[in-house]
Amino acid sequence: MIHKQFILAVLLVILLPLQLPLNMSAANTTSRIIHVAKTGLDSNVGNEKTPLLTISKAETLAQPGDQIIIHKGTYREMIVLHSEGTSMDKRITYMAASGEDVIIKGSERVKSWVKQGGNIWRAEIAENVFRGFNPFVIWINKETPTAHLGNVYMNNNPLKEKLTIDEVGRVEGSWVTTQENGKTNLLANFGKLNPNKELAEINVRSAAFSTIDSGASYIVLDGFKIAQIASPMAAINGEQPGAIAVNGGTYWLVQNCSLSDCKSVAISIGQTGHSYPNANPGNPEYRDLSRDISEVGHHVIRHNHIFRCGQAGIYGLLHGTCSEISDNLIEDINTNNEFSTEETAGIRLAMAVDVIVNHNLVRRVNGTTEGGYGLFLGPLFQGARISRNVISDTRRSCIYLYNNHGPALFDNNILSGPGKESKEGVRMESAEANVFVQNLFYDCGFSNIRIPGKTFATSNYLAHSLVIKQTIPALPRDDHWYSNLFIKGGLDQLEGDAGCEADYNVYSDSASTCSWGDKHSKVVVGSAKFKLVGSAYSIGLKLNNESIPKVSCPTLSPSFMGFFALSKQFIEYPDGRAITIDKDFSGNSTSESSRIPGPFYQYPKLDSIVPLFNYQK
Amino acid sequence: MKQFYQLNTKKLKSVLSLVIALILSGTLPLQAQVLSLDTPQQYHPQAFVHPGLLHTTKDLARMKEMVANQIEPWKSGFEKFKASSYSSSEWTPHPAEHVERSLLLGAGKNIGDLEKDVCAAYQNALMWTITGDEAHARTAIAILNAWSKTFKIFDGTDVELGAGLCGFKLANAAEIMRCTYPAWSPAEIKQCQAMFMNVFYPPIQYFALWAHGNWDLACMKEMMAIGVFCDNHALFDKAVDFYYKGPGNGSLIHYIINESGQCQESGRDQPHSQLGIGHLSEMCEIGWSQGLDMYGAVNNRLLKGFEYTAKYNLGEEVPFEPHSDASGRFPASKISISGRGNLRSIYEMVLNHYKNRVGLPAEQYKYTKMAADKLRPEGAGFNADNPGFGTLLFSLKGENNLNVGNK
Repeated sequence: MIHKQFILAVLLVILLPLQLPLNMSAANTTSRIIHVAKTGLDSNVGNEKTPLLTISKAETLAQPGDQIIIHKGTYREMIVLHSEGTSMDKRITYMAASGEDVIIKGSERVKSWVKQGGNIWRAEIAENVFRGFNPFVIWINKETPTAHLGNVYMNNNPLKEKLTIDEVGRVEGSWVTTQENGKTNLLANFGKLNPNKELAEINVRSAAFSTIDSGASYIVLDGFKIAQIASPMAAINGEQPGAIAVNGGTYWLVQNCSLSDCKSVAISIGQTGHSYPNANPGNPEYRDLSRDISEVGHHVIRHNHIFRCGQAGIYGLLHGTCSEISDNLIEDINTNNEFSTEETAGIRLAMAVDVIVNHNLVRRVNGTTEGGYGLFLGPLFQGARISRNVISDTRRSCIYLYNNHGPALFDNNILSGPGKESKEGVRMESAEANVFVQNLFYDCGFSNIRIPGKTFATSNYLAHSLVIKQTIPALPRDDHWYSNLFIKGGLDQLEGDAGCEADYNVYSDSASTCSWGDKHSKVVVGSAKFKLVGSAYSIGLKLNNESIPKVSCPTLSPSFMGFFALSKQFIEYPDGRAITIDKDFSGNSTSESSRIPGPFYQYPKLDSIVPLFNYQK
Repeated sequence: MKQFYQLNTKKLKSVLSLVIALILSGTLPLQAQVLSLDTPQQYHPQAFVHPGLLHTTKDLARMKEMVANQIEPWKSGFEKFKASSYSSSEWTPHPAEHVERSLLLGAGKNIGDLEKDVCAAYQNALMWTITGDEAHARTAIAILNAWSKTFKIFDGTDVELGAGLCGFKLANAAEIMRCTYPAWSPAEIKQCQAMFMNVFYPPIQYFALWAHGNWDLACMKEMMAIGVFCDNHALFDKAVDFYYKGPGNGSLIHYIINESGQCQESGRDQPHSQLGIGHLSEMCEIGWSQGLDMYGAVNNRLLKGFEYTAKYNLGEEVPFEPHSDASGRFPASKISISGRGNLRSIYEMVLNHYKNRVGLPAEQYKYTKMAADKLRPEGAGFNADNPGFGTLLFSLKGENNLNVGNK
């Protein structure tokens, strides 16, 4: 019998590659389509009628150019990518079948709960369930251990971790864990629900899609619902895991996915970094990462819904370079304040040269006295363009820019800050040459300071490359502010650092101009009645636009915005073409030099809502 | 020439008025890295004088005559010059396709070979005009041709310095040889000009606004030199414009920051301060060759920088005003003792201008003269930094002659 099974297995291994070409894609004659379904078997050939059972099995068969189509159902597995594509035409694609819900979970269902009295239930989890990664023994923060990486879920909603059984007894929807006799004990208060009949789940995996150590390139992930991943905490100068983790890989496309309840990072486009205690001008930080720019980044992270994640929605060192992050809805980050690090943000990127962050909605990012940013860039984001994003309800600044020589462009963004009095809104530390045009800043604080302490040797690069051109300290200077709309908080909070310019702006709701510019800017008496009108998946803007005067402003041309001699570049596209800002948030143009500052040249009639972002599920 | 001087005086009047007004108002604009790329005004619309960099025909003739007649101080200056290995007609060039000057540990390609070769080219060109020994002419041409045929890529973190310093000496060599050695073919000259425009100029075209002033100045003097050798007036004007009103640390008033002569790099160290004022003086000397009195700008500001620097390096005290430079990156609260007393070979050129050409009262160049006297005969410049050998190259006969360009 065993002998027959062995022969069958050998035949399958031999024949499978021969049979798969029968399922050739019409678009690419050399690619194959491999199907995966919950009705399948991993011993199947993987065509539509006899699909595989697991995505991981399909991964072992995937070759450059192949498409793996996954059909509806919940897949409880971590797919470790060993194979990669070889070019944009030969990517390996993992996609949900059209119109089908494909859920990938980092959790396992638990049905062995034993009632302890009251609403408290107890489950004893054997170590082998975790397969070497037990998130219930790992604290998120070792220094202040208040929450583990693991979590308990009831009907897809996370429960709140407590530190004592007494607390769990008092709080419905909470749990506590202990280790006894080599097993993980979970005590949870499910209220009136019976966890053995309802859907009770616990984290057991650290990622949905990860890669081998050297990373994998040319991968497409499309249309998945990824949830309940116990992704460990990431550090820019350390490991950077995530529910989806490129781990140094390049040229990924991640689109149309939802990622929820990822404990730390949802999508990591980074790689393991390290600290640089002996950095100096001759050997600056991240020098070891400098290489051919075509060999890093180039990811496209597009139209994803990231919510209820702890540390960051999108995160990474180096491989944000030449990447595009667009149309993503990132919300409810660090809701439980389990992360007390500066590295908590909707989007957090370092060494992200020529990155484009376009039209994302980032809202409700929590934090403590540290962290809780909408977008945190740095060190090193030369050539970045941050455009048409809506960022609101952040614990700290909407935008935090750290240690960079610039230039970088911020245009047509709507930033609703945490309050001018908090001095948070646009926070900069030794961030040079940031050009802000046509943005709307609501109740934002503004600051740019020199990084205290040790003088850093900060690299800048030959334009659109990672070739180090200079290693000198970055300073707070050369920021330009043109044609912006400031409501409640103005540039009076900024000192006139060297090379800083501000003009052609409008200030409303008691926002004040700066003392070192704003010669042609206008101040409005009264209120613009700014309001962001949010709902699930969308947000809009209400504004008393009639109160906003037009300002005659020169064309926001490359020469007007400045030639940045240190980096030897204008404000430019990644391909080197200089950028003229001649379109507003909606893509409308105007030939009039006299126009309304901020992200809209025109507004609809009074009291109507201007749509800003609508995530199409 | 006199007519031209008057014309330029008129054109410069508005520029200098602005500069002086800014100084008096104490509101010098600080710009860390944003550079206006506006076309500068024309400072030199008519044809260039050739040779017209550090040495005109008259200068070369004077050196030749004085050395031939064994007249001091040229005699001892020449002995020192001749003893330099770079003055040997036996010099063999080591051209490279790629040169990198870099601060990064482990980086750097062929920059040492280039620095040595440009010194050899310049000094052999001068040896040829002084001695008439054609072997030197052949060596100078061999170096120029070897590099202009081979050199394609110049890069590295410090490429502005590499291109500025090396290109300047090489351009001076080329300018002398084009005017004195007919055997250097038009095709070879064209090839050399192409090298300057395509390899040396691109790295310096935007100056170095983020750096200490000697960086800007290396770019400026090289740009001026390429302008003359390639008969490119736009480059010449761009460099001269930066001298008068450039936003970086290299402009005259940003480098010699006040009337006491304090320099932008005085708080950094003394060798760089001397390097910087040396660069400024070389620009002035080229300007003089072409009929511009850049020496006289802002009430002889250059001389004040030399006096201040010489005085301090001769052991006397000088006032120091706490200062933040034009880029804001290099604040200084006190003068630097680093390198104090190590006089560089930069003083003869400036002394001879103000003493023998302009005829200023002796007290105005007291310390510059003391420095020159102490060094005389001046030796080599440090690496390719400055031309050096000022006793031979820039000593004048003692004539006072206020006519600009009358060399």
